[in-house]
Amino acid sequence: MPGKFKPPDVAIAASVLALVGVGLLANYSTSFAVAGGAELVYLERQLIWAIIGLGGLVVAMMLPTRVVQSLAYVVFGLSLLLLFVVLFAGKSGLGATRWFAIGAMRFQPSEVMKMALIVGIARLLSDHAKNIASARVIAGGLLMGLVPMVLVMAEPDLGTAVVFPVTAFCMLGWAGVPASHLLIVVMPIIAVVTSWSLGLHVGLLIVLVAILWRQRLRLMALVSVSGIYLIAGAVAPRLWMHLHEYQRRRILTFLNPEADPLGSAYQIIQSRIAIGSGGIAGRGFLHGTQTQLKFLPEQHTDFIFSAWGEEFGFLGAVFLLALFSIIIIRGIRIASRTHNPFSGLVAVGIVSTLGFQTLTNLLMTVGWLPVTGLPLPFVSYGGSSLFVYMTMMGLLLGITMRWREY
Amino acid sequence: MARTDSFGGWHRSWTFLIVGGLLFGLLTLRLAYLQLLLGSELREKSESNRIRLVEIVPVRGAMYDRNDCLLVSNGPAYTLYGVPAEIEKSPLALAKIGQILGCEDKGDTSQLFQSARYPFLPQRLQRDLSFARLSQIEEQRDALPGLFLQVEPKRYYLTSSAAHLLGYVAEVSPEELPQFAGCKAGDLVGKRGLERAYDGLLRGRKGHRMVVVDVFGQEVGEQAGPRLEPVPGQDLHLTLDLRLQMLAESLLVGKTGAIVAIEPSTGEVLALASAPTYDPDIFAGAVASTDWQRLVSDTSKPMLNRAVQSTYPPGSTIKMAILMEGLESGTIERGWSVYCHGALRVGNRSFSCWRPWGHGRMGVLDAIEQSCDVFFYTLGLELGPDGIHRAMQRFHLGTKTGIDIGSEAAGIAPSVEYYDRRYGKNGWTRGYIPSISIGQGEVLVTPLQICAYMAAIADGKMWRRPHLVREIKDSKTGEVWTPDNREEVPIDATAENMRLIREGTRRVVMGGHGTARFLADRALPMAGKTGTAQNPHGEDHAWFVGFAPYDSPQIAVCVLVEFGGHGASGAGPLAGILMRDYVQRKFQGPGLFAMDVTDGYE
Repeated sequence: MPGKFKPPDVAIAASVLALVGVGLLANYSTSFAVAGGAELVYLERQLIWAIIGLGGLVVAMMLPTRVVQSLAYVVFGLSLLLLFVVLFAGKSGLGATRWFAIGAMRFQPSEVMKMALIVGIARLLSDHAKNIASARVIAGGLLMGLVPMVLVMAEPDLGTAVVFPVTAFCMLGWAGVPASHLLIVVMPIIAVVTSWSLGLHVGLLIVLVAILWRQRLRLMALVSVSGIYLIAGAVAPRLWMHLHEYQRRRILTFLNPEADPLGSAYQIIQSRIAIGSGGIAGRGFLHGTQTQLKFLPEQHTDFIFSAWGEEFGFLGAVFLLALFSIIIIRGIRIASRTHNPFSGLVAVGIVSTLGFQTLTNLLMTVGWLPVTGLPLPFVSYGGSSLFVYMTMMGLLLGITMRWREY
Repeated sequence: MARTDSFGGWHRSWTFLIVGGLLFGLLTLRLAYLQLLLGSELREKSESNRIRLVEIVPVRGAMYDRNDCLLVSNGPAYTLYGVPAEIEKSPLALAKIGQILGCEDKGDTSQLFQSARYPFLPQRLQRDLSFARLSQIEEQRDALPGLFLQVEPKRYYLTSSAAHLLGYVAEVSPEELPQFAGCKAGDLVGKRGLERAYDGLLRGRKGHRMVVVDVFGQEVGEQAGPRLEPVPGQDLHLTLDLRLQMLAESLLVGKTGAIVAIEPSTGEVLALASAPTYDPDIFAGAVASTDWQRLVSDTSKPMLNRAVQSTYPPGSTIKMAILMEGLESGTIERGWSVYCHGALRVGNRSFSCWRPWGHGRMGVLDAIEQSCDVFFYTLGLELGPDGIHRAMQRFHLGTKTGIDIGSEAAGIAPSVEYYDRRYGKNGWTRGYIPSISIGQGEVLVTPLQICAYMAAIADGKMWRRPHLVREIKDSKTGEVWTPDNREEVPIDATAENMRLIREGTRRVVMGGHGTARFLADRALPMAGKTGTAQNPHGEDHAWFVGFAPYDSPQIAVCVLVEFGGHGASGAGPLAGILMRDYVQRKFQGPGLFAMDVTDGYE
């Protein structure tokens, strides 16, 4: 039947392939820094994962939307189970338990969860499209984001954990949850952030209550929202004491870089120097001294963009930003154009996850966000992440193939 | 085209696009700021990040004795460096290092590292690793990140002799830093003795090279810039005669005291021994704090160079100077004599001679030969404190000689002004004078001063500043030069009086009544003077000062033995052995040391 399938979106496909290519180049460079070119440790493994990822992409692209939709809860449930199991049976590294080891390969269930969450929430919200503003649906969507967050925080992997509620929030917003409801959802976060200053804490509460009052929220709802806000503000400082030493230090360093000039700030300083010294055209492939002499910390994972920026300069960095932008812009376009509500939500979820993780990582490398430990999608070393992102791109491309299906 | 149902309206996609576009836009601006605006500045930073100036420590100058026998040299030693930030990452490695280096608190790095300010720069953890520790570290290399070894020169003292004289090197302390130009904290500098006095010449000048290093300070690359070669330190060729020095030290074993030997014709110091002594090698590498504590707290003060830094009453050894002043000032004639009853009354006090039953009539030569105290009480009262002060000044007694070793004690040459200052204008009487005229009371000198004084008498014309460095040799260019460490001062005395004094010292040994007549030797005519200095702390200090051969002096020797009793018995024999050995060796070949040791096996 002609017109049922369109060729997949070329711009997205090309950008994804280009990003994978950038990732392989960058990993070649950081491998070179580690072993002087003798063993391309990072590159080899990343290449294998890229090939597996390509398989995942094609399979996801070919899956009928109906199949994805019907399997959504199962996938979500299984992923949740894996997250739970990894806490007890996983392999540890750097003070955190994040992986399953299958032979030489490491497998990180929190990455799979990103995709599972997207299809899970998309299923929930598309199933209840009629009463999207109901408390049960909103609470259900939020809970689907918060449970994996808690499990991943327990690993602990603070950076990845934050991705889940953010994705859930974006999808709720897209699905048509009223702004006032979303504001109520964000209020506990505001409460936590402002809990260090009583004046700010209470002042903001008054402003928020005034806004909600104008939105004609019922009195009982206002009281309970305010109560949650105050409790969150009171509990936050106690939870703070529960954080890992290195996590607390990272956050504090971000708030006051002078306080810890040689811990996390060292990474930020070296990253800044690496990116800056790239200049307009970069220092040349394999000629970045910050990277090759290992001044740049975590250069194959969290700070791979700094290595890229050093060796390929402003032009290379903007090229990388452009690739991400193309996927995000095209993704939003797909979401707003598709006739299938489930597909639209999946597209928004993918764009939100990708956008949030990319921006968090990049803003971190330029010193505008604390060092949270989120890798750069497609580019950072890490097989699970590459595989999952490529599979998600397969889902996105699949939507473009069959957007006239229904 | 635009849809406004609950799924996917235009306004929602705009929210996403605006928020995303804003953040990506800000990011691009930030990148432009960092890479385009700050680009060159940050590139400079990255350059200085990776190129490190690595010091090249120059080889410290060696020291030789007067016969070109090597005394002090350098050898390789392993130094352990650590990068604090790397080590602290691994608590296990930290504990291991603590265990190997023997830190008391194994988890405490503050003890391990001197400064926590630069955790990414390598810091010296320990110099001169012992073989046991070195092998322990090599074995566990993989489990000890952030550690590396470097070969650095270590000072080697080839002899355990002359410890006080040679001194030692150690890391410069922060307080001393201003005194050592071109040094930074942690550098090795001379701390005592010749190592300190000639530090500027011995140390040489540091060089440096530029190397490419990674973040742990490990060299990964080639030369990154011009190399500045270090200038090696200059070699010192000493006036010291190692064999005489060793003989002198062996004679002092078990005793407390000092021996100085000087060549009268030049002022060159042939031997300068102090006992008890210590092994200079313990300072060469890492000084174990227990060794240091033991040395410093030892009540016998082995670190003290008694020949130069301690002052003693000279006793009768001062008598030639007093007699010379009497003759030179015209206070007495050469025919002057005193009748010794065994004591002299001054006011209501009686001053006894060492020979209680008296010497009878004493002429000037008799008074030296038999060391008659009553003669010198009488002469001293005629001269007064200022006369005695002049007597000592003539031979540079009671003042620093200016020997090129530093931290020298001056001693005291009393005068009227000194007494007025010490006791008040009318606070002292004539009764103070007899004591100082026989080298007791307030008079204080160092063994070195006494030896230089005897060398001047032996020479008969000049007082020469004693010195230890004969010449300095640039080991690179081979250029040889003499340092400005010598001085000749004509003795303010007539030749006739000088001859008389010398004759007196000859009679001490060769005369029938000489206090040191047991040293008489027809083959080697010697001259000398005994001294027995009363000591409020116990047994008398024994002095003997002499020179040989009498006609053409080659050596002047001063021996001081604390609590040694009579000068004649406590110090004289030691001086005799030294003079005989040196002169015999000089004129007839092998001395005591090499005598028939190998021949006996034939």
